[in-house]
Amino acid sequence: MAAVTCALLFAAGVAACGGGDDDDAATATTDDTEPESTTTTTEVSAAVALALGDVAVASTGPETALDDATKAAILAAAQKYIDVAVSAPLLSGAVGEGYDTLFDASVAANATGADRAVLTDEGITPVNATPTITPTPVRIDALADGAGALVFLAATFNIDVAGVTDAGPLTINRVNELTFVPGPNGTWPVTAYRVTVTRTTPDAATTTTTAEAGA
Amino acid sequence: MIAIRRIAIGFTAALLVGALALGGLVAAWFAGVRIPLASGTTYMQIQQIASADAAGSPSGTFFIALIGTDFRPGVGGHRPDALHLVGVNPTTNTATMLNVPRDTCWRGGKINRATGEDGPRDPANALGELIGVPVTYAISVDFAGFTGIVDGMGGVQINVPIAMNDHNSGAVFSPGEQRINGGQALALSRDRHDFPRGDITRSENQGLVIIAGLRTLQAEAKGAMGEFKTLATLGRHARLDGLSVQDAYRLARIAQGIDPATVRNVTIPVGGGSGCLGLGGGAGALFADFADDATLQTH
Repeated sequence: MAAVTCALLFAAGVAACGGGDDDDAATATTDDTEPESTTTTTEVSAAVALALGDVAVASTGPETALDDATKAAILAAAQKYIDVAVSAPLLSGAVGEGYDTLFDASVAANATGADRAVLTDEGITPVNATPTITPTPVRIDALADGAGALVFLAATFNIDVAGVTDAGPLTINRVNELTFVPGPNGTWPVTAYRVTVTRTTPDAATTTTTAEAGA
Repeated sequence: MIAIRRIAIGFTAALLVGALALGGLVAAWFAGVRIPLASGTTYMQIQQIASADAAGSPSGTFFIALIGTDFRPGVGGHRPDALHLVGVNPTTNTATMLNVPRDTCWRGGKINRATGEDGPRDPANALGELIGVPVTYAISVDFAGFTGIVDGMGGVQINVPIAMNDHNSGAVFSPGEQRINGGQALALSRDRHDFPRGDITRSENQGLVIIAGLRTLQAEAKGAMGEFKTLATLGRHARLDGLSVQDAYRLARIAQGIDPATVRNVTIPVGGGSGCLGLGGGAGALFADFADDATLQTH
């Protein structure tokens, strides 16, 4: 008899685990006090690894390039958003830790308030098996000032989710544009966003909502 | 001829200024670049002329003066012949534009007397004083930049309201939707002889071009990629005064959220007078309606 345990796996590259005792990826644990009884834990993962796409820098001054470290930092910032705002709710129905810290003061109120239902999948019925999550490559656009300093970097990408909940199938399509600014200690908080999400829930209802802030 | 050219310059400048400001070009101008399109001159100037809250937190209503001067290389000039005051309400994503004919009375003379050595600050403050609002940003453009900017945008898509055939301005248009280049935009903005109300109608037509500029920019500068490219391109041809690229981008985002179809284009009522046009009946109520939230509820 198998018991299913949902684990939050946010790290990129974590393999999805299917159900079944003979699944190589499944994590099996044995209760030492009851050696005759074996419990199999099937890990349901909503992890997805974003990948870098095209990069372009528009400058009002000298020609400016985006170094690899900055590209990686923006990709990581976008990844963090997906991890806590999308992947975590798919598994637990709740956003992951640190969601509130993703945004700077100019949009924090909206992102954690009126736009939260669009920016996150908080409140959905969690999936009961590893969903299919398909991201597009993350395009990075940057704006540099007259001195060539980067002032805004935008990550644009889509994500499609197809999963199954106890109530039935769930599909989510997200169109994301997150604009980051240099923050303290090397962070890149979101200072503007345009996000559209289309969800088809188990009752076959499809809704599309958009959130935009950061002017 | 010189007077006509000056008028044309002013109108052209105003049109460009408005389109840029509303469409996000403001942001580009704010970028601080001073590289001319061709000759090395600065075509646009953007000033933050008040430390209004709107500058730092554009969630509140703010006002932008769009100034077109008659400056032209080799001729000179500095009169603000094209004057528009745009109120922006970021909360409702709306904007209202009041067009002020250049001959409108202000402090006992024509308002286009309001000139100074400090860019568009003086005419902007004159507009604010006339209408009774604090002006946060002022954008000025001269004749030299107008054509180049419109052409740089790839032209402006506009619905010309009536037929025009004016040899003075060179405005020859059939009514209807069309794409006009910089030279045509200049001619359209100059034309006052095709209308019984002359400069007053011309001022309103300038408003149409400004809104058309916003619409065109919104269509062509979609998303961060388009916005950044537009800002960078336009920023190379502007001079900033008190603004940063960050400010410009935030203004551009606001502009992108405004539906051009909802932008009110209203020419203030002016009447007779000697030497200048006095404010017409209802001007005070119009200004009050405009000033409270940059939106006209009763006009």
